Amino acid sequence: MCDTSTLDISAAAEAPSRRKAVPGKCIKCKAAKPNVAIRRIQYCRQCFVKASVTKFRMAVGKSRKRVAWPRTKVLIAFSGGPSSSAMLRLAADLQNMELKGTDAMPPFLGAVVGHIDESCLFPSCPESNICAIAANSGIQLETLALEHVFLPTEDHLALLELVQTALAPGAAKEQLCVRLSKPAKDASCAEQLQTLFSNLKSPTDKEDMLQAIKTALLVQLARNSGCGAILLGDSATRTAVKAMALTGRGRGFSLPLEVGAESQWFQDIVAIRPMRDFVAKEIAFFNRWTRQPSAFVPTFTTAEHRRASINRLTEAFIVELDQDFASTVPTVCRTLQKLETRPDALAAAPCLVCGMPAEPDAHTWRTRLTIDSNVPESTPDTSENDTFDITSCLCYSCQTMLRHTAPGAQLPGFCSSRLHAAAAGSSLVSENQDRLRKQIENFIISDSDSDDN
Amino acid sequence: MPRQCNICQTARAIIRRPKTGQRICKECFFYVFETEIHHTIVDNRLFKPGDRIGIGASGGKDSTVLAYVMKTLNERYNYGLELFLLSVDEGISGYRDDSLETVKRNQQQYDLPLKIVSYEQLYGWSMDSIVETVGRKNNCTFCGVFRRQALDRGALMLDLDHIVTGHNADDIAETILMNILRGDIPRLSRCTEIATMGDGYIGRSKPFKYAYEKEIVMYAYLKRLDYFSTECTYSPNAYRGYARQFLKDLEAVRPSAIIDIIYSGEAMKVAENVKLPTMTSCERCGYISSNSICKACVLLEGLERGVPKMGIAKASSKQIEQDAPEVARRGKAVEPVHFEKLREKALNIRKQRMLNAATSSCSKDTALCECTGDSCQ
Amino acid sequence: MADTTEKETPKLLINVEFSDGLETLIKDEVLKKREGRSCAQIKLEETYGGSPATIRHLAEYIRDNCIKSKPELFYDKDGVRPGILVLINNDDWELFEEDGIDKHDYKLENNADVVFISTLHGG
Repeated sequence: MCDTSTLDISAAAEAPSRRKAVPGKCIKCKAAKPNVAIRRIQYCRQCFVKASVTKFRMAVGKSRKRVAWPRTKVLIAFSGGPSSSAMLRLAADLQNMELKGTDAMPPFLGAVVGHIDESCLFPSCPESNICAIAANSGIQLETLALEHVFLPTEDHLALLELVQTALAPGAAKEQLCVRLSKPAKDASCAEQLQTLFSNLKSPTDKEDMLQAIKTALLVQLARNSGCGAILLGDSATRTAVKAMALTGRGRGFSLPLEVGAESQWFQDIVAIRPMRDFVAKEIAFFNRWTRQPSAFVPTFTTAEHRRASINRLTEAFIVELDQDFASTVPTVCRTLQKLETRPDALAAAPCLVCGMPAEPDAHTWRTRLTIDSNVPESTPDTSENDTFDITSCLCYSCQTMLRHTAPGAQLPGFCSSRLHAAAAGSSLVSENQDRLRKQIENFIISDSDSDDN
Repeated sequence: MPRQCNICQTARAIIRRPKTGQRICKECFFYVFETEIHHTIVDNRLFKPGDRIGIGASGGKDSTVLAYVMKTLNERYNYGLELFLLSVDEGISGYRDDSLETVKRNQQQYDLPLKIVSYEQLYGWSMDSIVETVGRKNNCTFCGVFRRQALDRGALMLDLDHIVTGHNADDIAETILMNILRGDIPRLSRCTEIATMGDGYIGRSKPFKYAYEKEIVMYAYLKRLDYFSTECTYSPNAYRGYARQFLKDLEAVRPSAIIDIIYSGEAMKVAENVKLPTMTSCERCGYISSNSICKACVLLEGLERGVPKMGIAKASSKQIEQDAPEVARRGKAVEPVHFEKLREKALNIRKQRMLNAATSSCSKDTALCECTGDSCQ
Repeated sequence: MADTTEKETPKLLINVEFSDGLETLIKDEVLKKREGRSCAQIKLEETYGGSPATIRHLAEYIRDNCIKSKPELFYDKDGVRPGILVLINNDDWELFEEDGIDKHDYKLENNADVVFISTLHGG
């Protein structure tokens, strides 16, 4: 198809005002020899570091204004990677900075570094380095490990076990059914986590699940440590990549919540992304010039080819495009600022897996335009057995993920907690809601006095 | 050992369906492909009985399959539509002239009336002569802007209610990605709509919105449809090429990516405080436009005055004025017919048709003859 | 400039550092750890085909001699893989890109410090 647009990409490049640039000199001090060029604007080392500090402070200030974010304790989400290391440094400095005049109070009422230990899935992850970097900040460190999601708690003694993804081979109305089950007696939490990931088909699915678990754990960490806000270290580059990848995975509904500068989806906890104005290059130079160490955190696609996963492919695409059209990353970020969450998504219940809105009718949308059978639609009869169709409790994207997942996979404990909450409330729109509620209650009562591990 | 079809469980499976990965037989493929289109049409209430529908026909695979499927569904489900083939001759020798031959054969094969409007006739400029003037860099802009109007003009000449185009799921997914990448918010909010109002009078829709390009090709192949498969001889837009490659790669990673992107695109909501352009009518030709002069008229003026950059680059209008050569009009001018006039004519055709219908029951053809000829111009 | 007491052709000594995951691509025997940094000393010819050694020659040398496997993770068809930053004597190499000169054509001097930093997620 031909292109009818006349937007000239290179011309549309946000040409930052080269305010009276002196050729061969830093744009700020106009005296020193420049050491770095960020989209053709040249800075010397000192001015660059200073500008970064200011930019971070402004970002925090703007977020505070936009969401009327109360002065609370914050959780600084810290993976150990370059962006979150830079954020930790900037946030710690901001917290310790001597502020003048009316602005004399530090922006946070205290801070906690929140880290999720991923070494259960990535044994090469340099956990001790990461903890040392965190310790260096002087801020208290709180850690939860990924496998924590399989620790039995009061509201999820039972796990959701995926029963079937289709009723017949190749078939009719695909359904995502689960039954309540208990983990194998001798399996440790770590083993349960590893089993879950081995049941996920592709690196893309694994990335999705990992993201879901990390989000759930960060929110838990924030609640446990009394924080009213989480600072997330998504850079501009990361935001652009994430937005395209989320689009490619059918996550348009939750997109503004997952990449926005602020999100209040988690009700009691505001998510803030103060690194959103920094491109990856700025972060790399900031860390190098302030001697801020960071760790190399592996992913499912480390050292893999570009088509290994949607995230991987999208990153390669955006980074290459940004090299040819220097404004790609900032343009995508500006596009995102103009999008907001649809009201029907905001009213939806959280998806059992990712915790983002489980938009209603996602399943119907897909089945109407993808016919895979020549028999008329029928609701399969599940009343006789102990399984539940959880399709309506899942967002579009998590439906896709679970359709690829091997039957028998046991989902993290927070999924059954969420199902329990949904059944207890009235948000589960399902005819077998009562039955479900009863069974969950039964299950919990019958098991609560038995020993679990 | 031959595999059974996953759907009917009896016939031998001959294809692996891109959209679901199922192995299915030919008949079941036709059934699911056509039924999905039918669902798209009824779920979105694209037409009403008695509508006169123009099928934008280029001779390529998408529009050929569209014509075939529209005719099939119209008969199968009694939509009660009157179907027409509507073609635009952009004037690209070695490409459009050949593909129009295909459309003319389709006219015979499907027994549908055909109307061809040409750029030359409407605007006084063929694409060949435009490229001669502007070069190959921005010619796609001219072609796209002129085609959109040309279809509406053709539709008014036939007094149609609605135009359907062969845009498929891949095209739409690609457009969503492009609009995010270049921050085109107005287009991003429009590009997922299945039906729009073209010039404000004639509806537009994309029944293939959810149909995979691969499946359209497969359908055309298995039905042995007669279509023209050469790419346009003028080079396509390079930037779109990036988005297309990315989409193909995404599809390779996860085959459902194409409809997943469309799902995402439909979910995107432009923030309340973002200003979107308001639509008005072009002062010169009466076509719907977000500016006082529509894009087509600006481009035409640029061509006439020898300043083809007009309406293309973001250059200041002052600069363009300065660059304008002394010699004004190049004499190629064909003042495009004002849309008000076209609408008036359409109304007359309608009146005539209703009158004929009242007096005789089989005089549909009379009304048609009147407007398929060049006399309408 | 270079020491020519030996009979070989003159060599340039380049101090290279790999950071943020790139070190995992490099052969162990090439790398030396210095203050937690992954460094290497690389000898280049002073000239290649008559023209002075550039960053491109250095990157191609690394691709051909120092990478364990998958050289495309460091150097793709046109040059250093997009998303990898390069610092020459602690300055951003894009500073040298003015006036349409490819940053890969920057001429290296003896004892230059070159740092390669990956900004790609998870390497």
